[in-house]
Amino acid sequence: MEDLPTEFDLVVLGTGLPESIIAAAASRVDKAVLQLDSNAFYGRDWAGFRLQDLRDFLRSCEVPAADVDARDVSHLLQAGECLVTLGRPTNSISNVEEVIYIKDDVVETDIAPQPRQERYRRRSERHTSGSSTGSSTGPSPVNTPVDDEAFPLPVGRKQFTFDDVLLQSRKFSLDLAPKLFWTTDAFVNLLKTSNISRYTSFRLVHSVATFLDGRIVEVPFSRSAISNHTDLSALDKRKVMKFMQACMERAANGDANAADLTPARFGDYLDTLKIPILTRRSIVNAIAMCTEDTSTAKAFTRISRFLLACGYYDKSSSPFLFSIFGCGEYPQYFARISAVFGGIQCLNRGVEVFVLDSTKSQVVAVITGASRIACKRLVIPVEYAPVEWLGGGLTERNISRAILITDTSIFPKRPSDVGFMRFAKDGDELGVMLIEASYVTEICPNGYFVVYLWTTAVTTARADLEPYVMKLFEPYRADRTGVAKVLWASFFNHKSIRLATRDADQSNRPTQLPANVKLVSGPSGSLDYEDVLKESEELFAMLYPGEVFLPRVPDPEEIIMDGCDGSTVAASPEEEAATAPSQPEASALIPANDEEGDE
Amino acid sequence: MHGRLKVRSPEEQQELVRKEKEKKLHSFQKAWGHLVDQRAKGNLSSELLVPTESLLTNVSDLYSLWNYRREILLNDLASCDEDGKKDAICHYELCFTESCLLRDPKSYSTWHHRRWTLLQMVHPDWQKELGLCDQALRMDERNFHCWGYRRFVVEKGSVPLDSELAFSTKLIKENFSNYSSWHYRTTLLPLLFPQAIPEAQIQEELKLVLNAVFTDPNDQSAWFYSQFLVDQIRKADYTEVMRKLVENVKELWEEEPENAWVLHAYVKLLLTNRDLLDTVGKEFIMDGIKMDGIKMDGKEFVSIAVGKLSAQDPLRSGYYHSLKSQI
Repeated sequence: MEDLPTEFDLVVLGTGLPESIIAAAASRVDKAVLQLDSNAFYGRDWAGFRLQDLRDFLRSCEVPAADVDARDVSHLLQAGECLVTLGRPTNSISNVEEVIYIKDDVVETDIAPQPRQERYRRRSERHTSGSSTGSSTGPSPVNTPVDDEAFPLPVGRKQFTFDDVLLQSRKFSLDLAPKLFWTTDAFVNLLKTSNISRYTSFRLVHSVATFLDGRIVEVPFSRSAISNHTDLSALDKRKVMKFMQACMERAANGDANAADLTPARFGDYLDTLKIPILTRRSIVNAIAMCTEDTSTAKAFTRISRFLLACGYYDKSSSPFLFSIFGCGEYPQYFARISAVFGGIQCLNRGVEVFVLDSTKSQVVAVITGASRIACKRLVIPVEYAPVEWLGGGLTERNISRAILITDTSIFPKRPSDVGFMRFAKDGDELGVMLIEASYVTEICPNGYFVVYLWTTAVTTARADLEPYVMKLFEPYRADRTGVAKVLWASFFNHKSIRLATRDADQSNRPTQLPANVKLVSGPSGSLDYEDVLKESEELFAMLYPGEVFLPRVPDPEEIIMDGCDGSTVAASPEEEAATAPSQPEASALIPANDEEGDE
Repeated sequence: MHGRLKVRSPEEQQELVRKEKEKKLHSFQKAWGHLVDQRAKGNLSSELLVPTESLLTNVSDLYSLWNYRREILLNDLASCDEDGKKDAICHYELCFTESCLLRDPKSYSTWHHRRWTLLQMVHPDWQKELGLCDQALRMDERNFHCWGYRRFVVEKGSVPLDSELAFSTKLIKENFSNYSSWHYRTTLLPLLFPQAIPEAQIQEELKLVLNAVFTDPNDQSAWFYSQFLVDQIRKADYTEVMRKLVENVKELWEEEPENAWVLHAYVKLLLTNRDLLDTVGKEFIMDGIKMDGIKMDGKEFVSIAVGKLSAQDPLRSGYYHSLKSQI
């Protein structure tokens, strides 16, 4: 590869979602942007993988990253400058446990994991197919041809094994940090206003449920669902609706005063409504997504957000959207916008050291490989920051996650396509979140379902989540019918560090942080993208005050291609000459856009 | 500048759109002129179906063209001696109107042409037409063109009325603010039960309508339907059902004392059941003007309620006072 230019307005380390959003936004206002990622794939902690790739990746996470040979780069320094080595974070993913639930096939691989760089094959190389990736690991589908047709589980077959699932590895697209969108989400709105929505497509979540008394209960959220609900008496329907209307009215009036909501504890407030216990718990668990101890004002805000998002597309539609192809695509969508507007993305290329000026108040360059790249501003994930840059003020969140492959939908509403469910958990506002998606979302082959679960970590992911898995599923056995069965699961803990506060005046920011460096966080446990968008937008405003955040990308018909449309516009000669050379670097490195060809 | 996009200005884009429009207008006028000309000459060649089709696909409201098309088709049909051939011609028309309706589901002319086509057919497939109605009503549950067409299909195709009632129930369960579907019931039930609606059926209807008004007492469509039900209950003299209904509405009124729709329905019920005016009414305590322990009978209640209603809704105060005169 040709070497990179040596000077950029903005260097972004990592291709996670906030990094990519900022890179896209900076490219849109004509900054020269370089985005580097030491991984061979896009997305960092936000990535999505094919099944076999996910297994390889998770296994590689158990191995500490290999030490990079300290290279002598002192000759790249100018007078007065000094070097700072990057923080060497431990892997954000830990306690990885893979469980193959298919009986008669308890093959556990014992091949020693290798460092992730070598093992991991990037997602965009889908056309190389699962067979080559699979060959290096345990259950190997090497000599079996990959069947391209979607096939349901061969239920009648005796020897159904995990290898059969692995054959379809490339038809899975599994996310490390799955999320949903609110239909009224600011993030969805941004996708629309910025025209990034041209790359995206969504599926309405069809079911919202909670788990009560050992069964899955659909949550009545729309007018018609309440009206048709069989567990509610007519008067209860009135009470529930009245309560929901009160929440909406409050939201419409700007949520003025929290103090006038008494009792202040949500549980006590609900006592005053005298609604049936099942409905009450549905409201707490799935609509307010809180606990009985949450403050009434907070619960009201959440309920109104939920209700405002309901019925956005048709009268009884749920408040959520799920992303077709999964959430792992989002970093790429934004990186692509950056590339289209002249940004350069480079995978497999990390940065080892930063170059600081003599006062240590500015990063002037980064060293990648043997080259020095000057930058005016720098954006890095928090964990890449050298320890001395970070004062206190860091919060570490640890999420337990599970990714499951199952054979039947657990949601009562049919036909099933995407469902969301939340379990209440004592003392944990997050609760246990669950998303189930069928093949219609293109994240798994027909006949399978993907289920994501996550919660605040208490111990290891498996210990935290397997009890919930067992409440919903049985381990797979071919002769069992009529129950939801789990074929495979991967449990892992996902850590993310973020700054506790992010004030615009920076009074609470780490004092040792060079002024032109901004830090971004990893994925939180929250269901939506609200925090990510807020963070990216704020950081962008600090980096480039006064600039527009992600203005609309022009549609193809608005763009004047050189030489194609000379009749309508006569560009001034200088401009014509300046634009004439196309952008080889950019186009060569545009994020792999292989979905279209692949599907 | 390296890598910078050149984008058309809004004016340039508008200009492009305008040019496009002009081109379209020109070709339309040309085709239109040609067809008018041919019709004046009395040309009924079936070759002319193609140009009418291309114009009607874009603008379904050109009724003169539909008329011309029918003239040509009648000529074609007259020259056919086989039933199968006739139906094949009509079948094409059905496909064509279907595509037109997908684009413009509210064109009188298109729906009319479809009706006409079916009447020309020897073996029309009414079940298929019913399916089309289902689909169109799923897209727009209040498309009165389609509701009218559905009644035509049900009548001509002798579709069983109970399945139509089930269809209406399904729509109401999806969204109970559907005047059309409630109204459809008021036409179906008297046809299904010419004598009196059986008590069990009335119970079912009440369940549906009470679910709706309890969920949203401000929804007028369900209240209108409840008025129909009250009349049916009274006609059939189901005393127990009526008593239960009054109780239910009273319950709702106690929960929603300020809601005009509930109060109005309650007043109407009391007036419908004159015996209640004197007896049941004694248990009620009017909110707002009540003092602990002071009870009033139905007549007092109605006259206070009428005052309240006309204060809330002065434009209809004359109507409310006419209610008072019924005491």
